[in-house]
Amino acid sequence: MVLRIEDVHLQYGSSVRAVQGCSLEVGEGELVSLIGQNGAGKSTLVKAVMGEVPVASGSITVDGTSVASKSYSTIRAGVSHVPESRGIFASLTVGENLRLGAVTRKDKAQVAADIERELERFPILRTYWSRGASLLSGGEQQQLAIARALLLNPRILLLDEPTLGLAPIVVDLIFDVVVALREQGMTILLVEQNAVRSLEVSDRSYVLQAPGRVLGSGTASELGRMPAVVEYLGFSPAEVGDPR
Amino acid sequence: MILEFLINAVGLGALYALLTIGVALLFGVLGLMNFAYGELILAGAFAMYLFRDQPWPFALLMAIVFAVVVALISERLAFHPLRNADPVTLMIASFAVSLALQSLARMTVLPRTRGVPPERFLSHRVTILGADVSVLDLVTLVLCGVMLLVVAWLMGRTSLGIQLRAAAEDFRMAASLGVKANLVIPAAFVIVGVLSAIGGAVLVARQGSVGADMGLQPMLIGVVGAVLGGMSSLKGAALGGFLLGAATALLESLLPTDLIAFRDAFLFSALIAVLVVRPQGLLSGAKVRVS
Amino acid sequence: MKSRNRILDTVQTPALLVGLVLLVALAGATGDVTTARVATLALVSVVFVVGLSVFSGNSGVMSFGHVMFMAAGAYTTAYLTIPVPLKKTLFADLPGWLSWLAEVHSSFPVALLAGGLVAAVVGLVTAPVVARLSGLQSGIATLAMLLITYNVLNSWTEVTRGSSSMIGIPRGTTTWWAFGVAAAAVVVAWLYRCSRGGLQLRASREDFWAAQASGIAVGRHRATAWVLSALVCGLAGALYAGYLTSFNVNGFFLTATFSFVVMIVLGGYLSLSGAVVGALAVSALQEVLRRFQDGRFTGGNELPAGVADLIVAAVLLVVLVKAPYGLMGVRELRLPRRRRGGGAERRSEAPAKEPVGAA
Ligand SMILES: Nc1ncnc2c1ncn2[C@@H]1O[C@H](COP(=O)(O)OP(=O)(O)O)[C@@H](O)[C@H]1O
Ligand SMILES: [Mg+2]
Repeated sequence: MVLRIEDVHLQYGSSVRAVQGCSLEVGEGELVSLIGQNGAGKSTLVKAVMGEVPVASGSITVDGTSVASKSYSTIRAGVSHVPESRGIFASLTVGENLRLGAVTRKDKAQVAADIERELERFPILRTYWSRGASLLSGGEQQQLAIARALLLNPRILLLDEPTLGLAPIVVDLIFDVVVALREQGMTILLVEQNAVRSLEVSDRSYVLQAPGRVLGSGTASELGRMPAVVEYLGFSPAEVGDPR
Repeated sequence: MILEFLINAVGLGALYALLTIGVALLFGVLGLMNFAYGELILAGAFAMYLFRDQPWPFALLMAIVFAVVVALISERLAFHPLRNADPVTLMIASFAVSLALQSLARMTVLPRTRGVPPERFLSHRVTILGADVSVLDLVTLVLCGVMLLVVAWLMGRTSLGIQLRAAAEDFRMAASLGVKANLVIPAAFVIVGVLSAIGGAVLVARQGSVGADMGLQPMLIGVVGAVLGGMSSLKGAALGGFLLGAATALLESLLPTDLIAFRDAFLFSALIAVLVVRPQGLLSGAKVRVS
Repeated sequence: MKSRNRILDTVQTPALLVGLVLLVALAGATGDVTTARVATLALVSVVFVVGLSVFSGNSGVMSFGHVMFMAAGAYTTAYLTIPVPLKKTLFADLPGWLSWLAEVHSSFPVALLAGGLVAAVVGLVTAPVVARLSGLQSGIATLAMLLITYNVLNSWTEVTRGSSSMIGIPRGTTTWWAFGVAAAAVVVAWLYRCSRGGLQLRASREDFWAAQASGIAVGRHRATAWVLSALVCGLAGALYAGYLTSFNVNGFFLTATFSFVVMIVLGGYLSLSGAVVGALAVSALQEVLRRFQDGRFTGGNELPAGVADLIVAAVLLVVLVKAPYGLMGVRELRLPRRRRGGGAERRSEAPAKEPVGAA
C-alpha cells in the first residue's frame, strides 16, 4: 500500500471535529476516489496527509512512514497535492509556477525534459508560458496546478476537487488526463463531488459522510449493493458500472 | 536647472525605492513589518564611520558585511523563534530589536552623533548637457539605480527570486512545493541587509554624520512607501517608494520653509487615508494580504 | 446565596487590583522621596496602561498611538495651570486666534478633568480610522497618528514650545491623587469590560467576522472603547505633567510608547489584571535597572547608558517568544479559594464567546 489511513481522527482547534474514525487505503498504481458531500471531511483528510492538519489519533502512513513522524516530508515521500484552491501564485508567470514544481530537484536536464512532457500534456500552458498566472481562466489554472504537481514525479498524487466550478468541456479534459495518468501507472487519490464521473473512472471508491466516516467502499458495483450508500448518493453506483 | 532637479528627484526616488523594498520584502516573505530596519541602516552607516579613513569601496563592502551580519543575527535571535506569530506580535518584536540595537550602539560607540567627512569627490560638481549637477546626486542616482536593477534581476530571473516571490505570496503553498523556510527567510534578511547598507552609505554621504537614531527617518520612509505602493508586490512597493522620494524632492523645492517642518504630518495623514480608503495601496490592483 | 456569589465574583477582581494599587500608594506615601517618586510614576503608568487596555484588551487590536492622548492631557494641564505671568513669557508669539491660551487658568483638579476631556476629543476625531482597521493596518495607522502628533508638537513652536521643555507647571499630583485616579481607572475599565458593549467587543476579538455576521457593530464598539481609553490616558498625561512640573515633547514619543507596550505585553494585553500587574512590574524593573546603571548596586561602577533599555528589550523578546499572552494570559486576579477545578477560571472568561452564539 502506498497510502494507508487507519481509524484516523482529525480536528481543527479543540472544537471542530472534522474526521472521526476514517480508514482508507490506496495501492500502487491505483486510482481511488473519495466521494462525499460538502463538509464530509474530504479536504481535511487530504490536508492531514500533507501534514497540514495534525493527526489527533489513529495513523496515516505513506510507504510505511507515518506522517506524524519527525522525519516525514511530503517532498521526500513523493506526495504531490493539488489543493481545492489550486494554489497558483498569481504574481508569478505560468513558466515560473511550473519551475517551482521542480524546485527541490537537482537533475536539471531531466527537469527540462519533464517540463516539456507537461507542456505536451497541457498545450495551453506552452501558449501562455510567459503570461502572469493571474490572467489564466479557472480551467487553465487547474491544468497548471496539475502540471506543477506532476513535476515532482510523485509517488502519489492527491487531487482535491479538480473539476470544481469548471465548464463541462474542461471537466472532460481533466478526467481524460486523470485516466491517462492512471494508465501510465500513477497512483492517485481523487477527491470529487461529481460522484458519477469519478465512479466511472476509479478502480475503487470510498463514500464519506460527515464527520469523515466511511459509509462504504469498493468498486461501483459493490457500492451499488449497499443500501446506505445508494440512499446517501441518491442513485445506485451499480448503474454507472466499473471502468474497463 | 530642470535637469539638475530631475537628477536630484530621481536619485531621491531611487533611494526611497531601495528603502521601501527592504521593508516590503520582509513583510511579504514573513509578515514582518520590520521596525528594526533603521538599525540595519545604522549598522551600515556605522561601518562607513569606522572605516572612514579607508578607501570608500572597502568601507562600502564593510558596511554590507556589518548590515548583513546584524540582519542575520536579529533573524536568528528574535524572528526565528516567532515564525508562526501574528504580524502584530512580529511588529512588537521588531520594536524590541530596534531598541536593543540602538541601545547597544549608544552604549558602545555612538553615545553622540559623529561626523563622517564625505569623500572629497562627492562635493564636486560636473556639467552634463549644460546643466551643473552635484556629484553626490549623481552617485546617489547611479548607486541606487544599479541596486534596483540588481534586485529586479535577482527577483525576476533567479530560482531564489522565484522562491522568494512565491513565499511572499503564499508561504504554505510554497512550502508544500518544497520551498524551504530556512533558505528563503535568511536569504531575505541578507538581501535586506545589503539594501540597508547601501541606503546607509548613501545617507552618510548625504548628511555627513552618523548617530544612533539616524535609522528612524529612513525606516519610516520605507514603511510609508511600502504601504502607499501596496505591500503585496515588490514592484508596487518600489514604485510607491520612488514616487514618495520624487514627491519629497518636489515638495522640498516648492513648499515654503515654515510648512516643510510639517512635512511628516502631511505624509502620515496621507498614509492613514490610504490605509482607510485603499488598504491594498495606491498603486496595486491586487487584494490585500495585510493582517 | 447564589447572587451574593455572583456579586463577589464580579467585584473581586477590581477590588484586588485596587488593593494592589493601594499597597503601592502606601509605600509611596510612607517611603522616602525616591520611593514616593517611583511609586507615583508607577501609578501614573498604571492609569495609562489601564487606559490602553480598555481599547487593546477588549478589541484585541494593539495601538501604538496612545501616547498622543497622554500628550494631549499633559499639554492641556500645562496650558491651564502654568501661572499666567510665566505663560505670557513662555508663549510670547502665540498666534492671535490662540491668544486666549495665555489667559486661561484653572486649578489642578479642573486641569486634570480637562486633560482627560481634550484627549477624549482627540480620540473622537481619530476614532473613525480605528473603527475600520484591524491587525497590522491598525498598528501602522495608530503609529502614524503618534508620528503626526509628535511632528506637530515639535514643529509648532509658537504654541507648543517645540523641542524646548514645557516648564513651570505647579505640582498638583500627589501620590494620593495618582492612587485615586488609578483606582477610578481600574473600576471604570472593569465596568466597561462587563458592560454589553465590552462583552460584544471581546466577542469580536475572538472572531471578527462571526461577530460582524451576528450583528455586532464591531466598528462602533471599537470607537467607543477608543474614546474611553483616550480619556483615561489623557488623565495619565495630566497626572504626569502635574507631577514632574516640566516635560519635553520627546517624552511622548517612541521611547514612552515602547515602555508602555512592554508593560501591557508583559502583563498580558488581554486581561485588565495584566495591565495593572505589567505596569507595576515593569516600573519596578526599570527602577532597579536604573539603579544598576547608576552604579548604586555595583559600588559606584556606572554602566553605560542604554544597558537598562537593552535589558528591557530583551525581556520583551523573551516574553513574546515564551508567553505571547504575557504573565496573566486571559486570566484575571481572583481570590484563590474560589477556584473550583481548573476550568473555573477559564470559564469565567468564556462569556467573550457567548454573545456570538447567542445572537
Ligand atoms: N480551517 C478550518 N477551520 C475550522 N473548521 C474547518 C476548517 N476547514 C474545514 N473545516 C470544517 O471541517 C469540516 C470538514 O471540512 P472539509 O474537510 O473541508 O470538507 P469537504 O472537503 O469534504 O467539503 C467542515 O465542517 C468544515 O466546516
Ligand atoms: Mg473540500
